[in-house]
Amino acid sequence: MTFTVQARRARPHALPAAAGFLLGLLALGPALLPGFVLSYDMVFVPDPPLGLGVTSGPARAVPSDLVVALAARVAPVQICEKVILLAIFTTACAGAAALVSARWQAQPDGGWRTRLGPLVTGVCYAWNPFVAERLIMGQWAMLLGYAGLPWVLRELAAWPQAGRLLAGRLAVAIVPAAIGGFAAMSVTAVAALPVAFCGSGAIGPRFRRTALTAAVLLVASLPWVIPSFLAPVLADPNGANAFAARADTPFGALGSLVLLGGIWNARAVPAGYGGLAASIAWLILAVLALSGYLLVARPRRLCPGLGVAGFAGFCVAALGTWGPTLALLRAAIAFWPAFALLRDGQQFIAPLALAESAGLGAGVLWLAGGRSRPSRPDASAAALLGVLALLAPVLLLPGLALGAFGRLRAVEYPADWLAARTMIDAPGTGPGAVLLLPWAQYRQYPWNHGEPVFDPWPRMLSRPMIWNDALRVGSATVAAESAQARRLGPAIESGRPLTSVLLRAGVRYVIIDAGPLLGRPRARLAGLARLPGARVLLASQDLIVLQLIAR
Amino acid sequence: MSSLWLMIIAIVAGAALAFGSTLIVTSALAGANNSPVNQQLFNYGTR
Repeated sequence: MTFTVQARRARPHALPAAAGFLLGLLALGPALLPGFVLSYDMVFVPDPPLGLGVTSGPARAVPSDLVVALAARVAPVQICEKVILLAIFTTACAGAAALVSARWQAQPDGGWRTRLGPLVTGVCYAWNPFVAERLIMGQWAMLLGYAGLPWVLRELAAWPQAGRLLAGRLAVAIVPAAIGGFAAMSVTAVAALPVAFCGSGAIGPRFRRTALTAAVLLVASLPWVIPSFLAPVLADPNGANAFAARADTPFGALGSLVLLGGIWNARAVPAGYGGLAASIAWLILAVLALSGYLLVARPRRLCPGLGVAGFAGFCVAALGTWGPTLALLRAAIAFWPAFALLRDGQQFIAPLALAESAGLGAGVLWLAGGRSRPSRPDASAAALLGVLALLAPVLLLPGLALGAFGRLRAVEYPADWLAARTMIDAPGTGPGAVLLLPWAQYRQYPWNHGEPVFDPWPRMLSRPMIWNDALRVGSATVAAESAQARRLGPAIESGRPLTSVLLRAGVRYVIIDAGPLLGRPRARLAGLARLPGARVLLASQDLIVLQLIAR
Repeated sequence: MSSLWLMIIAIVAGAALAFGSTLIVTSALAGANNSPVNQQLFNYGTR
């Protein structure tokens, strides 16, 4: 049985959007104060140079960095960052609610009870372990795709009713994922293609719809696909081990994925989550949500194909959790580096998060009598259960609130950094690349309260940057993916003087922004850094900048 | 399902949610992270 499209209401998205905005305020808390929020991959810098975001490594920040740099021409970047983060919560909540309400028949006397189900869906989709862990990991670009996902599926689910014009609307709905780049688009594709194919209609139109959806996805992916083909992409199969989903509850990796957690990094698990109480509570919620999907949403074709998408995403997420499939993924990455898209598998449970959220909301709608049935339960009891379902995600995951319990805080860059940037990027200083030391990718700056963050310097300067993008995760080391880092790495780690090697590689400046050399006497810095003959341009407690001079 | 049973379920669910959330908030305030995840990123270049 198919539900008819809900009758138009005035401002149908206003309430879920407002709820999402409030959830964003609650989640970000101190992160909304003046300053920049820096956490793992979330790196925003003041006045970023206008560039394509293409480096010698994989095109990870394409086109998100370019969009931020363009937005910085209109508003201060720290404002842009907060707007983006709030938009993720608002868009996710409103989109998930819209997906459910668009396909559910409203009753003339339904009133607020028929609006509660979609709201429950929106809140659950915007506030769950997946959002918390990915937000702490700073993956705002991927979360943009997550937020836009229900809007994409809503357009696909409505396609038979609205005809060809929806191709354009689909393209608009994909914009957040297109801005997000490769991870956001990958997650969107895993969900959109099954939904496009499973929708109503004969087999021919379904194939055409799927092909058109694939074409839209491909066009939206071109900003990061083209650079990936222009420059050789290197990917270490060890990444499949390092970034495989892990257990963050007592229910193992697969159970953790069903509960919408399971990220590979222990430090990205929100406070209070993973213990017995939280795990059991989320297990109950997940069971209720999946039951709601299977028993209420799916039979009523709330979003045909969403269950398939959720299951497909779950299977991709689980690839790294079982020996044979992990070996298969490793072999696939070794064969073609593009398969490295699948190595951080947990992000692919995004469609499952939407299916569970839709199931929870559909269950509430069913209880609330959103569809007429013979034995309508007592309205007040149903309303109470609906309100509990609305509050449950927030109450059972307090670790996301207030900037993930203080993990996400706004900070200012040290004045030395901004002065150094002006000095290095000044006109007339000549060409040359910048090398970043210590030879590592992430930092724990004291001025950022010790929270890990991807080194911001590659986004600060318009010059070519060389840094080590190798990672040590647990016991696994993921080799550098940048050709320059692979070429210079052995020399830098050899312990021998570096000046001549770096000059031959076209390096003109060396930045040291962490480690034991900070604060050491200026006169000894060049020697201690193994850069004999280098001129110290700046030396402070936060930063050292050296200039290499060719003899 | 009768209205009485539904009301009982709602009350029990509400009490369980209140109890569970109190435990979780307490755990979060204590800074406890009981996650059995056993790996994290070690790449801070502090050496």
